[in-house]
Amino acid sequence: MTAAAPSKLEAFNDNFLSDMGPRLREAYTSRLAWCRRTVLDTVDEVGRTGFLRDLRGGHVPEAWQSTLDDVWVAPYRAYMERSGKMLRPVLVAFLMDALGRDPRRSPVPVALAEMIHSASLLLDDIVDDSRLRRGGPTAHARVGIRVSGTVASAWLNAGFEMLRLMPGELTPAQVDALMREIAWEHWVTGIGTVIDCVWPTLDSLAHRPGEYLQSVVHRSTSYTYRLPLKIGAIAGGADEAQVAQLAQLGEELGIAFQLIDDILNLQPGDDHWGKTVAEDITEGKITLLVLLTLQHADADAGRQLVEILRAKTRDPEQLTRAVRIIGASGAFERAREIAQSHVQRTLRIVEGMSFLGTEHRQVLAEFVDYVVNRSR
Amino acid sequence: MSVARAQSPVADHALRFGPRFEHHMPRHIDDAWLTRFVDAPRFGWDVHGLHAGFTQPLYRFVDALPLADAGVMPHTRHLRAGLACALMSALPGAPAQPLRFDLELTALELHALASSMLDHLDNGQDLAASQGRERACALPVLITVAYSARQLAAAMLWTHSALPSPRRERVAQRFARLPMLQGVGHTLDLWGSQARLVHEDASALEAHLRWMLTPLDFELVGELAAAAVGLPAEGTDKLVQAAADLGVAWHATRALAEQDRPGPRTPEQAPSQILRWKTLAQGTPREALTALAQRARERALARAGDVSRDAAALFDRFLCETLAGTAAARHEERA
Repeated sequence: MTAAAPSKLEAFNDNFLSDMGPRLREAYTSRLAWCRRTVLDTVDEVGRTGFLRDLRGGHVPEAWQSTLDDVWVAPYRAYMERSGKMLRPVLVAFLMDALGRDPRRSPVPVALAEMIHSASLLLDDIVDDSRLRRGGPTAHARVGIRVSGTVASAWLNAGFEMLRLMPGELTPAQVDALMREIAWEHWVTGIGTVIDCVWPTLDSLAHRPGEYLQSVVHRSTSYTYRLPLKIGAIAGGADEAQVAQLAQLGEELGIAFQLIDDILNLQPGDDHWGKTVAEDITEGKITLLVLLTLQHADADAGRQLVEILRAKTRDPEQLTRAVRIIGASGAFERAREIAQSHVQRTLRIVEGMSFLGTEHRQVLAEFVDYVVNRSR
Repeated sequence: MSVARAQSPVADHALRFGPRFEHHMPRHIDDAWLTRFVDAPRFGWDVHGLHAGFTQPLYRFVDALPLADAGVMPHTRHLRAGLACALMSALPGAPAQPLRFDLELTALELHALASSMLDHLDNGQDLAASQGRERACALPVLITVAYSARQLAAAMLWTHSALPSPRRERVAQRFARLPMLQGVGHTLDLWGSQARLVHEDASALEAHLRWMLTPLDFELVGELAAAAVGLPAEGTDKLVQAAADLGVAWHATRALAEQDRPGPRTPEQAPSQILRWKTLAQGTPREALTALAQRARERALARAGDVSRDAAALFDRFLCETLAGTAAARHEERA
């Protein structure tokens, strides 16, 4: 893959590249332009009337195409046009290369990693009732809650048809394995999300920190890292044990990432943090930090924190008070220790991947470092 | 319960299926169930939270559906499972116990429930404006439950289906693939009604039905029944097409029946989304729907008959029963 000159598509702020180690930066920048084009070209291909006609084998009125373009393709494509980094498709392409397969001969797995992630963001935005995503209106702000849901569901599950109709050089066994894993990840992401959704609605906050981590295992690791690593492994021809190792890497990394994300939400690394500070408090989210605080803070402090969470407030004073309560309980330190333990596991897993060359393992190690130490 | 209803194979199987659904999708899931359908827990699940946020909302919808002993109606509980079992029994090589495929039937019902749950949403610009007629369940929970149930259906088949390979993979892939088509179809259906789109002609009207309303409703029924008896590929394709035609005929017939309903319609009384779109540019909607329903019915019976005469008879009876069930319900409303 040759290095690509920046294009109009690469409108993102590339300051984050300085957070990457040199091998990761090279692996990333050499693949980015092709991955981005592949993702967008694949979305355009799937959105064509011709593709839909192939699915159904029959009449698709031409008049539907403009509606499909405006309502089904455009709101979804916008998420990827505004996409920050395309890390997942680059990860898939990198793994396929590392395992000796040319991703350009089977581009669908590369595109899938980003397409699934973006479709899940449409659903996340609905559930969070967000108005903005990546600086632009959310899909449901454009087309409505219910339509956005059907759009998201269609794109979330488009991978199965894409793999069937555009397998490239993937074998039938690889196609089936990819479908099976994607189906499972879709389901377990859902069951993990159930906890995140329902906890703020319950009267009791008597949950164990382990129960939060259990929901994170599937809610937060799947589309972020575990599934892209599985996709890259399967498409790259890895055997079952190797796929399992890469999946485990994705799971550990995903847990660490979520815990660090929760911490950064309340204690951002710098002024350029792209999210609203303490948004989790405003949304009343029951994170590990909250549960650790309730375990270790005195009853009065715990009660105050619960009141602030229930209030769903944007008041800076209240938010600051909540963060102070959490800090005073030692929850930030405990959460960092837990996150660090998962980081250590990831590095041990990477070291044990003898089926990858040294250089490739170094890229993965730098990727772990980048994910957990990013400041933006 | 009338003698005629008791003899309905669809109703009979739907009633018998109920406990099996609860076996595979229990009202209170536990670690054993989670280990089976998710994986061995690493840190331990909040099973009470899963009950509050998943199975309880799901069963609220299940329990609201009328049982099949009240007759076969569009919203009869476990209607699709009942139809699938009855169809299996009507095919060559019929299994002695269709309910042995209770996991597959559970997957079928989960798909249907997901669609039914999402029908309760309005298309507002935010959650508050989208509450629709569902008041008991917070919308984020309802949306998460519905989409999770749909995804569970495909996932459970790959790992736990009783079907032998390669039929298992074929059915699992169909369950996984069809939500895309349904999503595209529903997007067009919902947006088209808001944008007041018009069907250009009768073929566009039929395409609307095929795309938007039939895939998960009926094609999976055909797919599952074919796989259960081991129909060869050609017979499977024919049966799935017949099931799709049945679906078109069913929805068109229901739309016609709903047009006869007096007075203003509530969302519960206008289940057929076809009525959301403006009518044809030429001709009357009633004539077009009637012709469409008749054509689709004839195709369904002909294609099913190529596979099995009993299957064709079942489809014919299903259409009659459903229409009779709808008419009976309206009679009770007036009374």
